Amino acid sequence: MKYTFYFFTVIYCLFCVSCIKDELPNAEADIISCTVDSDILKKDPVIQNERVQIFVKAFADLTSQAPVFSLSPGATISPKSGTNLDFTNPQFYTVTSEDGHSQKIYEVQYITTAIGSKYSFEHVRIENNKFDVFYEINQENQNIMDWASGNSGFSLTGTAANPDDYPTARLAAGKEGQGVKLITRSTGNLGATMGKPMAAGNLFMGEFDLANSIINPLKSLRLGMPVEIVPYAVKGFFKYKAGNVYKEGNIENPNKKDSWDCYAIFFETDSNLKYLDGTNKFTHENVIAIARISLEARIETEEWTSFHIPFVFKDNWKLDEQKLRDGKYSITLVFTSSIDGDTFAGSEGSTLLIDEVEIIHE
Amino acid sequence: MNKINKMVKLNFLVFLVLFFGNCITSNAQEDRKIHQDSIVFQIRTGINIGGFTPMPLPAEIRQINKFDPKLNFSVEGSATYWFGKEKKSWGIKTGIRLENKAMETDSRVKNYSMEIIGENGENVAGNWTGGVNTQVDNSYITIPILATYALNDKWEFSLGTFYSLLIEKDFSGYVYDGYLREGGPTGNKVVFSGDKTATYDFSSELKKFAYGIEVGSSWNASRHLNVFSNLTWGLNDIFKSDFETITFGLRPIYLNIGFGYVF
Repeated sequence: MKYTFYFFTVIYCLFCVSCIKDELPNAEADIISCTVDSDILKKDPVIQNERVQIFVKAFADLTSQAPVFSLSPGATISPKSGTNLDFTNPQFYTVTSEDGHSQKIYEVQYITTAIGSKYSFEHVRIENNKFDVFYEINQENQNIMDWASGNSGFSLTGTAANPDDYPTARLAAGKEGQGVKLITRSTGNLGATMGKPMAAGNLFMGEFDLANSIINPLKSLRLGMPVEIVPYAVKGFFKYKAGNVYKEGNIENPNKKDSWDCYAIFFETDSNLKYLDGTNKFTHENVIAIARISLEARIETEEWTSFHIPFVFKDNWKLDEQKLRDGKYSITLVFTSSIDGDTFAGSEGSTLLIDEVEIIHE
Repeated sequence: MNKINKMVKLNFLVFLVLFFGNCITSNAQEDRKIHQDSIVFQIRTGINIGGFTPMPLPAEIRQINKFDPKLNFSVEGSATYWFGKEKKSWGIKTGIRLENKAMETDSRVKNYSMEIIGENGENVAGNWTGGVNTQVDNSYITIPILATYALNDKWEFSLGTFYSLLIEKDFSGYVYDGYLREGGPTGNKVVFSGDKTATYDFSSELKKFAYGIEVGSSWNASRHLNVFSNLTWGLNDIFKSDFETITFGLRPIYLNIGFGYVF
């Protein structure tokens, strides 16, 4: 039949237009890895979305360095990977995606200054137009360390409208100048669909590995920064107020009350252990000393209250001066507004304020 | 929207021209009576096979792993008015049809731009690369308005439009095994893999009203029984116009096949 023939021709055409199209060129513009002469490195380069920090030993000659980058498939970088540049001040690299439509400017910085031991939290920038990031500076006002937090993960829940809505944010009136405000917050509907019903405010020395934060939240905490000191105590000031309703996941537990946490860990890095994570932070064999706030000290208070936590060293540990100079020892210092926040237990609204923290050392 | 409205108007016009044009000529042709009565009542039952699809497929869709058209039923009662005294080869048909349009798809997308709005106004925009599983299960009350043409006492053809009211709805699914880049292809990256998925439910974003083109044919096995096939092609996006999460329009395209009984 002529008509049936037409009919099937039409159907056939429909299926033709619905074929899979050719793949578009890649739209990503990432620095995926950064390779630097391993003799001068103290720590693997920290690669954030628009920033690379390379921690090197004090003797490194910053006037002539040629970091090598690997990029997203098909992407290009300018200046070229491996170009000799003067890194006395940070250099800026532009990465262009294969499709040419997206570009990202990376600030690449070599850092020789070891991080200090006094933290007043006066330096904050707004990252991504969204949330606060605290950082430390050296005498030349260069950024030498970003404090890590889970804010970039909270950003993906879409619940926050401004930096103050994030779990980790600046406290305008701290004990002296600015301070840190950590609040346990609900992650809303979208957070719940990702299996993370709440987010404790947290601040720590190390990196938050956002990419792996959903697959493995505990492993996404990369704890530790190289230091050139041997600590013996942590001190500082806090205020704390626990939230009203304690939840474990989404289930209320009326018998439990939220509490905060502060701990510092001094450990040795080697070829196997570059950083501690949420699964091994207190138990790894490379841990040398732990300072953790006691149950009695974790009180609720509306006044600035001081804390002083001594490091407890493992028996028979001996300092190796060469390792200290080479940046083989690392410290992490961690604050959180809900002590069990990494398993999504705590009370919405639990608020920990901290300021004027110091790692006391010899 | 405007474009679609224009298309519908155009379709109507074409249909009217064909319809009246042929009415006049057909009267002049042979005399054999195809239909005994001017008004013919019919009930039909059948299944819908098809899917909700962007047309053409956007380049972001890299692979379709699975397409399950599901088993969708339809029942229809209709009346056809056949014009003319003698031959009655042209008519107009309308009725009411209850039908399901469902499907399940599983595909891989690359750098697919989307925006997720949570129930409390949470808002995340970003580009997803990875697996997307979608399940649609909608029920409609549909009114077709068709011009019919009987070629002889065996074959009938129809062409026209349909208007549907959504009465039961489900558009949901999950994304898995891939990564989201916040804000765009250069944004922060977060990976989903293994049993980590993010679910979505856009049921409440579906439009209440749908329309489109319907073209069909039927073959009369006897005076009372026929088999038919009908293609319905949706012309409006199934989502409300302010819904931005899915950036391309999805339209229902279904083939309705079954049998009818003529009274």
